[in-house]
Amino acid sequence: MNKTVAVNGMGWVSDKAFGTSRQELGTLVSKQGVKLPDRKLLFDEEVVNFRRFDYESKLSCSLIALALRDAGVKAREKKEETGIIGFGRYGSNVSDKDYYSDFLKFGEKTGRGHVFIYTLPTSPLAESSIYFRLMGPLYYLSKESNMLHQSLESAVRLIMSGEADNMLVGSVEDFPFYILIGEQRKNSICLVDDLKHIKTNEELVSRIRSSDQ
Amino acid sequence: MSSSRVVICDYDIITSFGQGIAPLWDALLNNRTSIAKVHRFDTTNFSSSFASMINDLDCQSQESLFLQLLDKFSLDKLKLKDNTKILLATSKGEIDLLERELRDNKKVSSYDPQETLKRVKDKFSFKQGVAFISAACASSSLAIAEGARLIEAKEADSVLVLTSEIVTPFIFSGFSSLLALDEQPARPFCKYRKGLTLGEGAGFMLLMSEEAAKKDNRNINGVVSGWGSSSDANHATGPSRDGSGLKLAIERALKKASIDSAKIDSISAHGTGTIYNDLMEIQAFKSAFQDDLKPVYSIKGATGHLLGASGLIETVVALKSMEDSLIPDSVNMTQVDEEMKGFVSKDKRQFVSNIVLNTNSGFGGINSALIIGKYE
Repeated sequence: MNKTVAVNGMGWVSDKAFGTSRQELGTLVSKQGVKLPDRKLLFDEEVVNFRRFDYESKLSCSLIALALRDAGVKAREKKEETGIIGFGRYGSNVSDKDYYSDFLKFGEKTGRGHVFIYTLPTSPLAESSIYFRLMGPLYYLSKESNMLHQSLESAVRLIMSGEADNMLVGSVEDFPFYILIGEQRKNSICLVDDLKHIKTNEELVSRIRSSDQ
Repeated sequence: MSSSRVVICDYDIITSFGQGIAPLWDALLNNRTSIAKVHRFDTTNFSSSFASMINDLDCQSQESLFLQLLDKFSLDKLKLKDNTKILLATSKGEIDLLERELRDNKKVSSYDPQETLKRVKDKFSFKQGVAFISAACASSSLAIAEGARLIEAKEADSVLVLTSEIVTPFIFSGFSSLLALDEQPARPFCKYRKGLTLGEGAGFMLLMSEEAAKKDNRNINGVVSGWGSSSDANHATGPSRDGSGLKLAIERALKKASIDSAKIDSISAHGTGTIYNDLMEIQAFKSAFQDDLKPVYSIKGATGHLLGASGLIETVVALKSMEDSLIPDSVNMTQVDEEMKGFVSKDKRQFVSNIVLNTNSGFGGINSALIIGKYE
């Protein structure tokens, strides 16, 4: 089936600010040494257990909230045909270290379950799928090089083959972002093909922000 | 390429029964388990002392246990082309490296997916890059699906899927803390089941387009006819109680295979032995198959839960099941759960199977369904 796949929404977070493809929405709030967008600005309904999420899960949920809002998609509506591919270099390294250091601290007697559940590279994606009710394919990719393109290509294949209508693709590393891609529509931001030569997350965010909309 | 059928060529597996499908198959037909008391590390403080471990791994080696398992495969014999895509599927990878670094203050090698990819590439002298796919306990089944998708889209004509999982204190303590371990060896689909038992295993599977496989004179052992995946969008660790997420993955796989559920002959279930997973699966099967339920089995009473490696190893068992026209025992099940009566059997059965549905589900509610057919 021939479809033209386009970017329909984006959320991004830099060192200081956050926003969508269309605008910068605010500056980051620092809480307990972690900088994130103020979640009151992002979520219409409380995200259950958000305080217990690891940083990567909090950031993923924030970025996906921005990308869906940018695309005009209702956050809590069930989305059977929307999936997520996350990519990065480090997987769940930070949570892995937290969990195991904690386990050692307690004399190797007991681990903390609520930390252990974040020791999968897919944990932040899963938390996002739960809040936003995304029921499409979900997995994490890593590669020595070209991760951004491999992830985009995988997501496009899922859409072209009819396995998903929309895919969220993004990373919480380097210049964190998530984009929502799907079939081209009137108010699409740009085509996925237009992103072919982009090498870094930052370039991608910049390219999408500068697209004529 | 004129044909887009995705075929399964070479494969090999390692479980605690040994290397290859033969020792595992023999155990499954004779109701034997490899689950035993763990000796590699102290389990005194955990809720179980059982696992299915591979005993000849060297914990003092510079090489991770994960890599030692993969090293047992002679991949050079495959004579892969330089353009073969390589997918590495795992949930926890070389986690033992992190443990040694933090526990013994001894950094053997860096622990992260990027370093693992480099080491795998170097070990097997792959000329091409390796991609890492992680999807909890559905990792290798989703990697098989990704490989099949690449071949179907004609972006590759051969894809090698590698998988490996180990059992370490990190993983054991985590599952123990979640109260997910049975204090006895796991009893999938049993009325008395109380949890899972962890297991170690590894495997590889070479997927090719039918045309490329024939051109290379490869042995063709089966067909990946359909694949589908979904998220429950329900809970971080527990499965959706009504099985709706897994049902969606099954429906997607049937759609991809262009068949209806009546064509499925048997089901290789994830069947971990936890109360909620097994019940969820049965709800999904009942819902997807209505009144036409198929024979269901799980191998995890024999092998333990192989985490991300489950899907690939269970696919190999499914191929053997079709080849021998036998549905294996669900090892350790003493009395079938009422909900599962009639389609989960304690004993092996003669059964001609041409198409097997293989399901896996993982933390975060990730579901996968593969439809594996006999090659005819």
